[in-house]
Amino acid sequence: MMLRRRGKMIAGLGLLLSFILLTGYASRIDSVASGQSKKPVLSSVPVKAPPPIANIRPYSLRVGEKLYTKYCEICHGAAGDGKGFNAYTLEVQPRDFTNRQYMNALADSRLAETIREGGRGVNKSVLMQTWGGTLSHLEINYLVQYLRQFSP
Amino acid sequence: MRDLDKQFGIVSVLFLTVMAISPVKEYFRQWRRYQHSYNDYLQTLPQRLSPVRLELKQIWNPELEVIDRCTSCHLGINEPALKDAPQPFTTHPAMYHEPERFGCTPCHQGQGLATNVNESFGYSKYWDEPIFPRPFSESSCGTCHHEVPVKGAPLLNKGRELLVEYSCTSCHEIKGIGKKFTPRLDGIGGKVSRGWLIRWLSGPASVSPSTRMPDFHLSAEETELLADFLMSFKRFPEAGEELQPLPKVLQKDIPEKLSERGETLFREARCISCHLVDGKGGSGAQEIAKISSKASLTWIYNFIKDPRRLQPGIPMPQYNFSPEDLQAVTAYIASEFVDFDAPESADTATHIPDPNYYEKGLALFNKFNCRGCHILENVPTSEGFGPALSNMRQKPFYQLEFGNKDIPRTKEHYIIEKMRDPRGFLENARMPGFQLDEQDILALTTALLSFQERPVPKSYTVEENQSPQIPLAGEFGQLMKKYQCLACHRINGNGSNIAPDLSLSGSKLRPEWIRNYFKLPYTIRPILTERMPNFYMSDQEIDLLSRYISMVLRDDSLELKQNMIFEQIEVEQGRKLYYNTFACQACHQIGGSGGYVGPPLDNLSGRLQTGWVYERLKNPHKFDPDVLEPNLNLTDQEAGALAAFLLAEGKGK
Repeated sequence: MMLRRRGKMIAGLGLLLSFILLTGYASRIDSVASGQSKKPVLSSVPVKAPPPIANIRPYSLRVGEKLYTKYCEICHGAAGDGKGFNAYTLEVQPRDFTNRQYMNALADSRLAETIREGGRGVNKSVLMQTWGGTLSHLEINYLVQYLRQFSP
Repeated sequence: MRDLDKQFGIVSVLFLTVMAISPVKEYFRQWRRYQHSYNDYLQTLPQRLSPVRLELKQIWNPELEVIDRCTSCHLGINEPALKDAPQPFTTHPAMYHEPERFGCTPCHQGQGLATNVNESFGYSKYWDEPIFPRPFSESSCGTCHHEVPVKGAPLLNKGRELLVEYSCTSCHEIKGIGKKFTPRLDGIGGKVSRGWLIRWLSGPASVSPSTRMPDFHLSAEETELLADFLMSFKRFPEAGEELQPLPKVLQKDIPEKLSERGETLFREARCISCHLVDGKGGSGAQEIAKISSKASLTWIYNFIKDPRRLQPGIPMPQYNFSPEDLQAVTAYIASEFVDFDAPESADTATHIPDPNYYEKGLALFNKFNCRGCHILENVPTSEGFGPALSNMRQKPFYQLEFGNKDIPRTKEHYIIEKMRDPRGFLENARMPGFQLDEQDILALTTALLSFQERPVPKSYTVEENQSPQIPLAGEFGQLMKKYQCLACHRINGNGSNIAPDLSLSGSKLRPEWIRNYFKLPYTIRPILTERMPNFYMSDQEIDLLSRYISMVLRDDSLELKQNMIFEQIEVEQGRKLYYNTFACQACHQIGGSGGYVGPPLDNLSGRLQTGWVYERLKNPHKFDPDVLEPNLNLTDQEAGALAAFLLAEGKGK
């Protein structure tokens, strides 16, 4: 009688133990599969992503280019050198964005302000128009990022 | 008894341990670790940001069927101070929609419910819509924004334009995408020579580099059969079967004088506004530098006389040439627009076609779905030839046939490769090769990924401004059709964007000016390629058109302002504003000095009406939202002074 009870007890214990082991193992598989180390690495999460698409520029530059071609190119030139089609009619020549020294000295906020307020707003030639009533803050920021491309 | 106690104790402890597994596992979840590191990270920043509560965060929008838990780890998306923080805490760049309402997956895709990195990004076996590579996020704009163009989505807009440009819907069903004009083939045997047709079919781009017709990679035998088949269609059912014979003067050697006169007319008629000739001209119509080596002179003569008699629906205007002028223009085209490099096609006369050329040619014609673009014998264009693309965004992955191609197994790589090498996936693929560069392919991929059949609730979509079609009836409608005004201009949402919108031109322009302009159109905006042609309209036609425009195409809210009266002092104030404050001379010319961006402002009072000038100065985008002119946010007083100056003087310093 005693023996049978003990047998039952051992069987129950065994079942429990194997259950514990199994759940533990299962959760281990889970964490191995997701490829995670214990502490998340902040800068680069190891995920198996498909390879990137080549030849594509970031969104801000794509939008920036579109805006630049529409609003700026005619005076500042497609190459950003200030030699656009309309430049020769102007008394003060448009800014040359390829001048690295000059451009690096300007903060993004200053460039944005110039686009927004025009020459009038920043004590430069009034020939530079004010675009704050036409372009949104976002669009102006994209334009600034695009201008930076001319003097990398 | 003591034994039993012991055993009971052990079992209880074990039981509790088992019960604890679930909460412990929950405690060590990935997102919780991220939230801990986020709060730790905030401590290292100079500015004080409040830490997040440790909890699973979720955005729920039942209308869009969105349940997104992405913000459980992406904790800084709304916090501008975290611009340079490491992922996943970085600030979201420009955001066009509040994430609290729209969630994340409508734009980025991925598995919103998942709470660990791999599953939520969707790189798992059981999820068909993994997160988009960033460049293609623009395609998500297209799922709700059906208007054209979508602001802030340059790649999507370009892709949609290309879908129309290349008439992709000729073979594929794509909802909401239109088609370009493509010519009928009835009468082609009476238009071109067999030699030309063979050269064309074996590589359209080698004959005309700017053509939109793709290359079907036909074998030499197939080309011959198809050419024989097409050459057998010599009649013009729309034109009463036969073409009108050439006038006598054009049948023999063409007199040089006539050709010279034709050249002048060709210039005045501004044919190069649409047609490309020797690298100069617009892109609205086909290249015609070598047209005389392609089409017979009889066909050219008949076509210019009445384009829609030979090609119904073509957007070419019907010029009101006198019979002599028509001869002169044809003479000029005959003597100048010749392909001097074209090989002599000697075999045309001696060629004996295959006895079953008609059946074999027709089979090829149907096999490559030529009917998709070209009407022949009034058989309607076929549809649904290739696979439908209306649900590309949600097309199940298993339906993509990768064949033996060694490319990454993603939907975007599939689409890109399909366009680079249309017949590469399957042996019996029939898709032709289009002239696309890499940027075109990326744009098209973006556009294709935007099409889904799952409906988006109406309150979330932006539809294109569906304006009622202008009935081209009555005398005005007939003239609009004859001169194809809407091929360049836009009226009340119908038409094209090449030339100014005419919807309100009755309130904008002075009636006398309109009349004179039709008589002798001149260039108002010198930097444009597309210029208003001289149609050589009759006085009667001019009278009708200008009266209609002045009386019907109006904005009544401008009526009161049209009679504004200005004082001399305002003119002087305006002059100062024009030159010194706003520097309008940067873009506009007055008296020969100033820029070339906008139109010259000389003699403005002879062209424009007062109220329109005033309103336009107040808000340049009121009448044309797309106009280049900056909005200067002028006060009433400033706008009045500038209008006074422009209308009163407009004649230099």
